[in-house]
Amino acid sequence: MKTIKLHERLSNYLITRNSLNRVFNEINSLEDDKIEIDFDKISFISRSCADEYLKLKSNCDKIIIEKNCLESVKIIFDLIEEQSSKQGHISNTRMVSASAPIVLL
Amino acid sequence: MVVVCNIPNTDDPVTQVVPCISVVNSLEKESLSNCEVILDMSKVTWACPFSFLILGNKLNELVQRGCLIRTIPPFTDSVNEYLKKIGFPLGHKKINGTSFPIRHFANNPDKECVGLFKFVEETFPQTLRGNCINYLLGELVDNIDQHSRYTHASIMAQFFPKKNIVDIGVIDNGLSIPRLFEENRIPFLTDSEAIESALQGLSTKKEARRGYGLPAVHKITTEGLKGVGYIISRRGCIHVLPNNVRKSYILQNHIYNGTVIYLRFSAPKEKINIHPYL
Repeated sequence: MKTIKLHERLSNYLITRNSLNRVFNEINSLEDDKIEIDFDKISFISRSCADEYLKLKSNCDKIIIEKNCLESVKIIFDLIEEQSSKQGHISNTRMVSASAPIVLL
Repeated sequence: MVVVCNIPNTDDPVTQVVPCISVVNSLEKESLSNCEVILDMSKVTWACPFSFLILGNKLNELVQRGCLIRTIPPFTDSVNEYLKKIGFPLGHKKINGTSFPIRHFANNPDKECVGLFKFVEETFPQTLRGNCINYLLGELVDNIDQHSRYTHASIMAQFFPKKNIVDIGVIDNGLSIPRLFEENRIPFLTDSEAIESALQGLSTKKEARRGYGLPAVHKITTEGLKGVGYIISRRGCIHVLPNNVRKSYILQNHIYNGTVIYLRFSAPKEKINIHPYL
């Protein structure tokens, strides 16, 4: 099983969605069916990045296993999973804006 | 050709936004017909970091386009000192005290953010380290990366220990929020309304679980940290305050081609839990 150390590919901070796309492009090109993603030294993940990770993982045809995930990182993943189960779609119709009057500058 | 910087002497971003954007648009106009532009800042006696971020971003963009830029510095020593500290206008790598200098980037936003995160970890108050500031900056930078198709973006973060105030600014010269909504056929009446919709979670991305970042940033800032936020995009300007108060403005005679987000709050006495706001 191949292990990918995220902090070696990126840094201790996982910030943008696009940064993870590059990692998963590498993962998808590997021959291994099972990939271990090592979150050692990852001290922060943004919500956007965590969301992208879960999306890329679900679209990946390999078995992905995480290890060494800090509790603070796990909490963000859990939060997104919870939001997924409650997701209501925000339509593209016009939203009613706040009732504050508009001042011209 | 000389562009005079007439920013009023105030710490209020709303009062400074129109003069600031006027200077930016004048710089742009001059750069189209002159390969050398001079920005005369001699009359500037005070400006908030917000304004220097906007001006710095524009000057950096012009330099990257091959324009020769000169600035006539302010006469006021304290303003000059501050500008040196933040590396105005083109930014610098050297860090002074609790002001992270303006950093400009055209790609690889992660790399710039990492430097800023490390700076925060080392210099900002303990109660702000860790997820709080990282989340605010991370989401704003990811938004630029995802949506704006920018060519130039800038970030800055500063802590003023005497006032116990933090300023965070993120700016890009890409597609504005209203323009993105138009491209995606999302209706709105005014540019401020488009910004307000984005603040409420409306996203141009069709996938599920999108549209959380900007609302969360403003909730953390105004509810968690009891601070304020400003978003300027095209002709819209929204001032977000605690208790879900909003003030909306329209720039009548000026357009900002891009988006500026500026947050200001005091360092809290205890670390806040940001998770309820995500």
